[in-house]
Amino acid sequence: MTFNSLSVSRPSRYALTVFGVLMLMTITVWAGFSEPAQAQSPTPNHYMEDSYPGNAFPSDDADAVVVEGLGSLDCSSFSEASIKSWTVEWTVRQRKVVTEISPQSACGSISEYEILLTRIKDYVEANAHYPSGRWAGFMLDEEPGYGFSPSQLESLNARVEEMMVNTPGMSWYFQEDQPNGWELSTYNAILGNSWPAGQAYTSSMVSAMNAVCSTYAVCVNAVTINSYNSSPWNSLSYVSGLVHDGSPWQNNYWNVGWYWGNKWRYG
Amino acid sequence: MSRFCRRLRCLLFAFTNRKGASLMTASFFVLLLFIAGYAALASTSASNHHAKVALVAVTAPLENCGRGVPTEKCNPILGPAMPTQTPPPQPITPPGPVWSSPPMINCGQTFFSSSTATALSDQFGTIDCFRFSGKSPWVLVGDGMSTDGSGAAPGGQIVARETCASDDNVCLDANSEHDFSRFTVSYPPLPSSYPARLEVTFGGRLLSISDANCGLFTFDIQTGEWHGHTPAVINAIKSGARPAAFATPIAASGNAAIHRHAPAATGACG
Repeated sequence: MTFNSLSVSRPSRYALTVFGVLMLMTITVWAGFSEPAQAQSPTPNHYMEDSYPGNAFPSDDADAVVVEGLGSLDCSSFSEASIKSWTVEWTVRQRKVVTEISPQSACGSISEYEILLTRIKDYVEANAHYPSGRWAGFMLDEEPGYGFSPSQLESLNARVEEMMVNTPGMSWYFQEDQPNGWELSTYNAILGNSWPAGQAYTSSMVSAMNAVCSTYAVCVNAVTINSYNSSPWNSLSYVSGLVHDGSPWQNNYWNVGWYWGNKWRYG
Repeated sequence: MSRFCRRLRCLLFAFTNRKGASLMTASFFVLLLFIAGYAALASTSASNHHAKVALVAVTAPLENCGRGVPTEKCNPILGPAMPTQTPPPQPITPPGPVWSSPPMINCGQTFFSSSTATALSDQFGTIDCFRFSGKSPWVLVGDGMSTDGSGAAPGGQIVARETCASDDNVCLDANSEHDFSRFTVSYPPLPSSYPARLEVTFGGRLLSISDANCGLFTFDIQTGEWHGHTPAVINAIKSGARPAAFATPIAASGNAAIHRHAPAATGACG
C-alpha cells in the first residue's frame, strides 16, 4: 500500500463521505427554519379550566382550576370574598389554581381594579397553602369591548407586574385576551410581560396570535379555547394545531414536561 | 478495531494532500454551520428543550419564563421550598355553590347544515350553541362581532332559543339537523354593540352576558327578558319573582333575523 494509492483513491471516498454526511446534517437542521411549524410544539398535554367559586373541580381531565371572578366590583356576579376564599381553598386541596378577573369599565375604574387585585393577592399570599408553587396568579381577561383604552390596560398590567414581582415563587399573571380586536402593535404592548393565554375562538384570533409571535417573538401561549364553540373549535388539540411557530405555556412549578392550554367554560 | 484504525488513518491521509486539504476546510465550515443551526433551532423550540439542555449542560441553564418574566417565576430552584406543615386554618368559610346550572350539551357538528352555520357566523359573529341537560330549549348566542374581528356583525348580537317538546327526541338530539327558522331571536337593548360574551349561567335558566362596554346583562331563557346583573336580580328570579326588565327590540323569528340588519337600540347600558 503506497501513499499515492491511499491519497488518490480510497481515502478520498472516506473524506467525501464525511463531507457528505456533514452537509446532509446541516441541510436537515437549517431546513427547520425554512419550513414553518404547523402547530404548537409540543402539543399541549394538560389544561386548566374555569370553575365558579363554590363549584366542583372542573372535570377529571383538567389539571388546574381557574376561579371565575367575573363581575367583581359593581357588576358583582361573584363576590370578592368568594373569589378570594375559593382561590385559597383550591390550594388547600393541593390543586393548581389561577384567579380570573375581567376588567370592565362598566364595573369599575382601573384604580378600583388595581386595588381589587392587590386585595386578592394579599389575601391569597397570607392564607393559601404553598401559593408560591400552586397559585399561578391572575388570569386577566382584557378585551377591546370591555371599555378600557389600550393605555389604561397597559397601565393596569404594569401595576400588576409591579405587584406580582414581589410574590415568592411562580405567582404571576396570564392574559386571556381577545387578540384580534386591536392593532397588532397595540396587542403586543398590552401583553406586556404577561403569560399570554389568548382566546383562539376563530381563525382571525389565531392569525393574530401567530402574527404577534412572528412579529414580536411572543410565541409561548396557553391557548384558550371556548368549550362551547362549534366543533372542531372546541378541541384544544385542533386549535393548538393551528397555532404556528409557538409553544404551549409550561412552568416547572407545575411539573416539568407539562404543557398547558386553557379551556373557558361556564360552571 | 483494526479496520476502524485503518479507515481513520486513511481519512487523515486524505486530508493531508492538496485535494484533501480543501475538502477539510470545506468540511470544517460545514461543521460550523451545522453547530450554529443546531444551537439556534434548539433555542427556538420547546420541543428541543432536552437538546438545548444537552448543549449547555455544563452551565445548568435556568428556564426562560417568558418575555420580561422574572426567572424565579418558573424555576423552583430559586423559590421557597414546599412547606411540610398542615394547611393553615381558613379565616373565611368558603361560600356554597352559586345557583348552579346543569351540565351543558353542545350542539353537534351536524346541528346546522354547513350553509346555515356559515350564514349564522356571517350574520351574528362567533356562535355558542348548547342546551342544559334536562331542559328543552336550545340556546344560541351570537357575539355580534364579525369573525375577522374587524367590526360589528350585520345582524348584531343575539340570543336565540328553540323549544323542543319533551318527547321530541329528534329536536333534543344535538346531532340532528335543526332549522334556524324555528328559533326565536332576542336582542339586548344595544344590539349593535360588540362583542357580547356569555360569561356565567345560573340555574340552567339565566345567562349573564357581558355586553361590550355596557357591562353585564342577565338574560332569562324562560321569559326571553333582559335584566340587570346584580345578585338581587338573580336571587329574585331564583325565588320566583319577576323583576323589571329592560326595554329591548322586538324579538324576531330566526328566518327574519338572519336576513336583516340589527335593530335600533332601545336603551342605554344596563
